[in-house]
Amino acid sequence: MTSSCRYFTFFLFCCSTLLFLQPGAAVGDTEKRSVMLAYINESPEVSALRDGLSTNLDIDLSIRSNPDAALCTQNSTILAYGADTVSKILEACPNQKLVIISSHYMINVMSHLLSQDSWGYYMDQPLEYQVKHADLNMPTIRTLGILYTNNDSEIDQIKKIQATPHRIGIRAVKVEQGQVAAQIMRELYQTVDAVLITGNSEIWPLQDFKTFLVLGMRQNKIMIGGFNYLYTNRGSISAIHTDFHALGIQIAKDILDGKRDGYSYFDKRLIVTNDLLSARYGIFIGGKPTD
Amino acid sequence: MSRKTITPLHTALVFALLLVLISTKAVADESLERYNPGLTLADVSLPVNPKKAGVAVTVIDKQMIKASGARTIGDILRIVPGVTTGYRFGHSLSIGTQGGAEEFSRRINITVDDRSIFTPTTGSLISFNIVPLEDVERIEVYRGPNQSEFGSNSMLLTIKIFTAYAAERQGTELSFRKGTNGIKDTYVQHGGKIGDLYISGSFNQTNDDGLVHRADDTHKQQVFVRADYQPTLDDQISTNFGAAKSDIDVWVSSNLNSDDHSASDGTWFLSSTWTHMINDSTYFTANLSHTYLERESEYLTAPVSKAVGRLYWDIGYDFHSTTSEFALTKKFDFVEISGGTKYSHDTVTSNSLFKDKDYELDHNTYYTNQIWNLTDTTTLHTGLEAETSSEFEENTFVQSISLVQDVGMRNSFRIGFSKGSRFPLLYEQESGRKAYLIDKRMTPAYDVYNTEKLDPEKMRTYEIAWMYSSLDKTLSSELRYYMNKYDNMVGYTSVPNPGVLSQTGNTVTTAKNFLNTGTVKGIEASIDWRPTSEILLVASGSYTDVDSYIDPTTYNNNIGESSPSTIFAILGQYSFDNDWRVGGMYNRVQGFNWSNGWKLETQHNLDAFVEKCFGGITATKFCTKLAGSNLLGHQSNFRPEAYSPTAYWMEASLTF
Repeated sequence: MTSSCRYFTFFLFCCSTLLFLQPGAAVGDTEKRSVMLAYINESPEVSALRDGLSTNLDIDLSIRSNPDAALCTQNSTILAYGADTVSKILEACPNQKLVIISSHYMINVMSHLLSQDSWGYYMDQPLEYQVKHADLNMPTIRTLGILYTNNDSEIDQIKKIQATPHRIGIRAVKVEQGQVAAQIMRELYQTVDAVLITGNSEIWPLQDFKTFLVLGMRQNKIMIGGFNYLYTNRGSISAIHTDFHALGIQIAKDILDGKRDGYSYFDKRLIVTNDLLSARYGIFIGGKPTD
Repeated sequence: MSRKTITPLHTALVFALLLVLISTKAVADESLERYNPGLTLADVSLPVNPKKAGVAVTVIDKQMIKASGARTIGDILRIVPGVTTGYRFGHSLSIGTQGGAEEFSRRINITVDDRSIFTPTTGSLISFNIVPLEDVERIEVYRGPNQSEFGSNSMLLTIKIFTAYAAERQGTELSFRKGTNGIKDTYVQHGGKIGDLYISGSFNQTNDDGLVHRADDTHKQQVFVRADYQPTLDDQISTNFGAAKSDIDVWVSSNLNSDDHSASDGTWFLSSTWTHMINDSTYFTANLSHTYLERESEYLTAPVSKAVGRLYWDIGYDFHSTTSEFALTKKFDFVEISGGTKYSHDTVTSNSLFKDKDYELDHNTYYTNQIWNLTDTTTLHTGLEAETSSEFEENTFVQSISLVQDVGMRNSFRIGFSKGSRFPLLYEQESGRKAYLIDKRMTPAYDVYNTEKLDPEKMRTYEIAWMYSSLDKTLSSELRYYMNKYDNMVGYTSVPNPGVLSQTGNTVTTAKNFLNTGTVKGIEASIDWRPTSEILLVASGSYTDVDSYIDPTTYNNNIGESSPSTIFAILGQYSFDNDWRVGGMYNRVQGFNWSNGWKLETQHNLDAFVEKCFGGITATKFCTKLAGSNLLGHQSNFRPEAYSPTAYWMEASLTF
């Protein structure tokens, strides 16, 4: 046996021993912090989040995929994934303290419903990173369109993006009350190469993505952005997503430290690409980091 | 809190984990995560990527349609490599390609959304129930046999016309066009939403004087409605309805002058498609459509001779076609498989085109195709199709195979082989075209009378192609060499009169199979350049060498004649100051032999326009346009005795 093999065998032995000893030896069950992850639909993000949370041995993680009034009497820290989950919990348990993961847009929309001591992370990433990703990694894009509405919660970000010099040109278009995004995008695609999906669900309802995707691809134009698999699956060709596994690890730490308040973007990101679309249309997506 | 015991084992493990984490940190912080999503509803109507397709395909998008300044669908089709279009009448489009150019486009399949314009009874009903150009969002033209994907008659070309989703056509659009040659067009469109149902409807009216030296003026009114409903995220239902009424004239017998002639067409169609996602890797589409066409065309000639007197032609027919189609698509990691079946039932009634007055035809098509992902860069396309017809004993069966190899992100190569086949039309198998001797107590006198039992046509295509696309997608191009071998084609020939009263005495004209008909070799090239959103330039060219093996004295028409031909087309537009646009299309055809025996020496054609718009994307938009067609002179089409004249028009449009 070579020395490297011996070291490897030793390493495996160490791991096995540690795993074997871990339940009783490392941390007592009674000392674990009880955390309940509540969500409505299973998704790759929920799965990654769950895995991240599970890495912390001081967390006793339970899962509730259909939150209801029973949650109101729970002693666990409730981690609510997604705006629909938050709404459902607060409907059953008003003023429930929650740890929330939801989009910047929806947290703003729901802000009056949330208890003061709730805290959490935005599910999405700042739009500037989506733009940087397009700028650095997508040569197909020379002009990027961004739609926004009056009182859009991301308007400050959009203004900042417009004021920042990029390789790509930015064209921001305001969607007036009652206008249909598909109609506007049909025109907009004639002057831009891509459109950025923001968190504004008034402009970007998921059921309309089929139309958005088809009318873009008809002109060789693409959609980028979005913050979870639903957007990617429905046609966003590439986006900066939150690293939900890392977020799970961070939230576990935050809960144990008990020092979190307010809402913030998470600082670990992934570039997620829709392989099917990028291969079908031969669209090159680079991997340069946006930091 | 209990105290954790730190042991050397822990230390070793933590150290090992740290090593792993450090080594992967650069990737983990912002890695490129490849995501393998499932199919979605959008996949049903996504445009094809020519670099990935198993056959040659040209995509004409909305921007190209607008840039061309075209007034009809026929004009814009000229940008497709190797394709030219002509008009025997101002309102009747004929499409020529690959040496198979003839008036009735018998070897071409045209679909509008999911409804096939082609019918096995009468061929492609071009011009009469295609939707208005304003409603067309995209046209995909597949060159060469592609029956395993699109079914019946996708032999030389498959032209797929897509209209816009109703959700994109919200609001109101008005346009009015008036110019020389009797041009006077009106288009009104409005889209709205009723609950979750998006609906868009248009009405258009087109008028022109047609060709010079023809009495073929057109006055057409057309309605088109599209409704889209998405009851769930996994279901999409789209319904199209259209109706058109045309007063058209088809008077051609310039040597038999008479003022007694008229023609009209009335048509309507209803088509509904349901797409359902069974799961992330499987969906099906089901389509049901009905098309009705009533054609009336009658004219009275001057006396042919003292013995014959005057001929009365009544070459109209009533036609119903009901079609159902079902296709299932399943995506696996290594292969995407789709298969489908299509059934059509046609009834046709005519007093003057067929041997009998009434016919009913049943037609079944079964097809499947597969896209095998052999490696990340190599894709194998395979397909099979079979057809049965109540009119013919023999079935058709065709296969296709092609290999697409990506070389880097920019280049792709394709090598392919496919077979094509089609059943003869009812009009070919059962033709009994007759005029009535009005001065002889309406005795029927035939000029076309079928005496042969026809077999399905058969052909083969071999092709090799190179496609290029720049990383930023500003430039794409295609170069293709193909060889079509026509093994068995249906043409027309004179045969001894079987005993009917014939206008030609001892002979009648009949459709007949010609074996080993000919070979066509061609080179096609195209380039699409869009360096900025302001500039668009698309050019295409082809050289086609038709080698016919049939003695020209043994047939009348519908067999390609030996000749080399070249076709070149370029379209482009330039936008400036956000609201000005100039553009147009140039087309040159040389040595093109329509297989009806009509030869086109050289034809230049230039259409151009300048447009000025006011208003923005989300506001009311008003545009004015000055346009002209055939600016280099009259366009001779493919009949020397008549031509499309130079014409100018003004157009105003309002969108709000």
